[in-house]
Amino acid sequence: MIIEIRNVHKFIKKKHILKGVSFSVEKGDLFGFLGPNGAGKTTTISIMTGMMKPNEGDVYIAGAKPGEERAIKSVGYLPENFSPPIGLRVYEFLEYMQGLSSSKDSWIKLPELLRLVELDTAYNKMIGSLSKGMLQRLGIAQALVGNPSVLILDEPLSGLDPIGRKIVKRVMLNLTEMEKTVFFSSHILQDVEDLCISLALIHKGSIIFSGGVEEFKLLYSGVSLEEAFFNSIKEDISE
Amino acid sequence: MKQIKYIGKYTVLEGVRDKILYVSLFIIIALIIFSFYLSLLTLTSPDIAFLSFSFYFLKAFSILALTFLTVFQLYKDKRKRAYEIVLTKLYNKAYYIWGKFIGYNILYLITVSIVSLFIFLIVYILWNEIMLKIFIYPLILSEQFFILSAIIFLLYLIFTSPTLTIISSLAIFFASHFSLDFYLFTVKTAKGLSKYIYILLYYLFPNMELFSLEKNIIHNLTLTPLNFTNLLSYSIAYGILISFISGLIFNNKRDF
Amino acid sequence: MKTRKLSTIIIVFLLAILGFIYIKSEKALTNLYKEKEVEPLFLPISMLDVAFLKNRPAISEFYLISAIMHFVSENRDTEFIAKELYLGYKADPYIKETVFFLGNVLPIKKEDIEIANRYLRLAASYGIDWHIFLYMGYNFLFNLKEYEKAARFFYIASKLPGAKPYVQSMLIMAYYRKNDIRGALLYLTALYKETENPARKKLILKKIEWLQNIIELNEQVKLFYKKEGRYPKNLKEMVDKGYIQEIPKDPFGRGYYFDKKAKIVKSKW
Repeated sequence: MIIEIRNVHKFIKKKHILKGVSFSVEKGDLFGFLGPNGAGKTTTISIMTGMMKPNEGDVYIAGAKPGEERAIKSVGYLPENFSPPIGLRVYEFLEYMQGLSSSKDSWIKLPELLRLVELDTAYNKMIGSLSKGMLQRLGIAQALVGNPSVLILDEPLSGLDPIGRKIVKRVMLNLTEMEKTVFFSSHILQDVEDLCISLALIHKGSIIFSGGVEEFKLLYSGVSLEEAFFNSIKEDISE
Repeated sequence: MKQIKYIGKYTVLEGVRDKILYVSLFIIIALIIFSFYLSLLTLTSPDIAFLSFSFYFLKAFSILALTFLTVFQLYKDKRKRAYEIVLTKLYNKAYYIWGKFIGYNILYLITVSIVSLFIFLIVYILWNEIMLKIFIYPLILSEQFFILSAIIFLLYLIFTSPTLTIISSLAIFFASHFSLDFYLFTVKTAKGLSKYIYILLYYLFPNMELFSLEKNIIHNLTLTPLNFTNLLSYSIAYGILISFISGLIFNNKRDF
Repeated sequence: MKTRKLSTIIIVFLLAILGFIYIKSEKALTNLYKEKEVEPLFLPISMLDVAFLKNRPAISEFYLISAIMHFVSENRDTEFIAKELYLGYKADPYIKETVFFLGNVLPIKKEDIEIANRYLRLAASYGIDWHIFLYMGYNFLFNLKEYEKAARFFYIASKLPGAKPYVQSMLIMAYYRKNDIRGALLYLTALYKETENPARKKLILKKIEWLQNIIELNEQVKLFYKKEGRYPKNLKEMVDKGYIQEIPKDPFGRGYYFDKKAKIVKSKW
């Protein structure tokens, strides 16, 4: 398992945000982390990337704890609402990220990297002039600079128009072909159904399900993922 | 260490392209030109009067501009969570603080050097004098900003509001021009425990009056190399001490 | 664990060194200030110290400009202007124009002179400079016509470092105006002995000759009065009556004359 989350509890301002979250991700998987708004997706991701420390439990990324050098080198992260410095040009920003990852031209040259995320024309552009879709792809590019084995993407498809979504989905599928593990969160069920083989569903800080997409649909008697999802949290909705 | 270098480098690059810096530079240069007109109102030789006022405007407004720029950028990165992509790549989160600290200080030195060059050119064009001593001033100002920026980063860790950070840091900057007066008055008149508290307060806050060397530069009074070395070691020691502590606190934060 | 302990120790050690450097440099820069019984400046000279961040030359210029503005305005308050100039001098004693204005420009009426001198004295007590005593001497010499006091101030001014040679000329003028010609001569002779510059020595010798002529002429006027029972009409009468061989030549070319009112021989200055 390349990602292992074991019994993680997290309190924020005395509120119990994560209640014993446990799941694992296999190497090379395209894994969807599903849940409604406020379920604890971003908190879980913050703990995985080392931005927060759990009150209880363990997290292992590529066999190391978040914050350790091995984990840092193995992870490429795209935060929700990715906002890079608008005063920099695309290539300057990527060089900056390369410098931080100590990976200048080590595995891929910048023009090739931009081609990977379908941003070949944006090399010299100011970041402030990019569209939302282009920004998201730039975010994926910066996550890739250190040639990480794991990509953690927080809501990579949110706020995109249909064309943007199509392109980003295509990029994400290409990444798995490069044998990278892609872990992404979303509250858009269709996207998870389109892309993922495995998923974990979080609701009110607890993992309701972790496993295959088809398994989930079967378990919650859903023809579609959406139906299965609503069935799984039926009691809470009726409340 | 390499990560600190990259953070510093791109902080300078971002800062140089920030609108706040351009507008502030424009305002400072306008005030320097205004100094020339002020110098015509006095009896002293115009080049001395011009230097007096120019130095004042340069100091006050460069400190204001760079304080605002530093604080706004730091809090904007925090609010938009833009610093996440940097922090998640750092082996020690303190590098973010130290890299930014170095970056903003380099930016400040560049800003005041540009304005000093402008002052030098005005003096040369108007009075045909080559006053190289003008270039001592940006070095002294940079030493002051080194101390002030360290305080800004410490306050950044304490306050969640950029306004509070700006007000507090500028208040400390202004008030620390009177540290020595405070010391001479209170230490001489206080007795017992309060005397030691005053001494502690005096050393806790920087003494900015040590850097008020405008009189020495303008009237060509002695600025011995020993004085310079002491000023440099004073500002570096204080600045590094405070920013180092800030970095350690930042690295040990539970949540970002 | 061991490496963590070691790095903690190293960090604490480095911080201690930084702290030591900080305190050492602070002491090196402020010891002189603290050792001297410096007048506590806790209450700033004005709120301008805060506004100008202790940029003393700028504060001084500000006071000077303010004083000039007040001086040219309709409702002039001399006391207020004098105080501003004094504060300007106090802010930066290297900007002499404040005391220049105080001593030379401000005193117009007699009351102004008293005010100006009072603030010049305050300025002197803050920071002694030969300019201050020179301007006080000016006021006493030209405006108040108190020559003894003027001479005293010119003497002090001439002894202070940086005083220009013309201050000594002012001193001699004060003695002369005081009609203390012998005093002026004595001072000049001492000055002649002190001076090394040959050109200056030549000039002083000329002045000595000039004064000696006046002394000699006045002696003869006294003799004339004793013998004739009256003062001479002019110097030519003294030549005609044989008291003097001829009217001595004024080395400065201006000529001597007998002042009937003051009843002494004077030079056409």
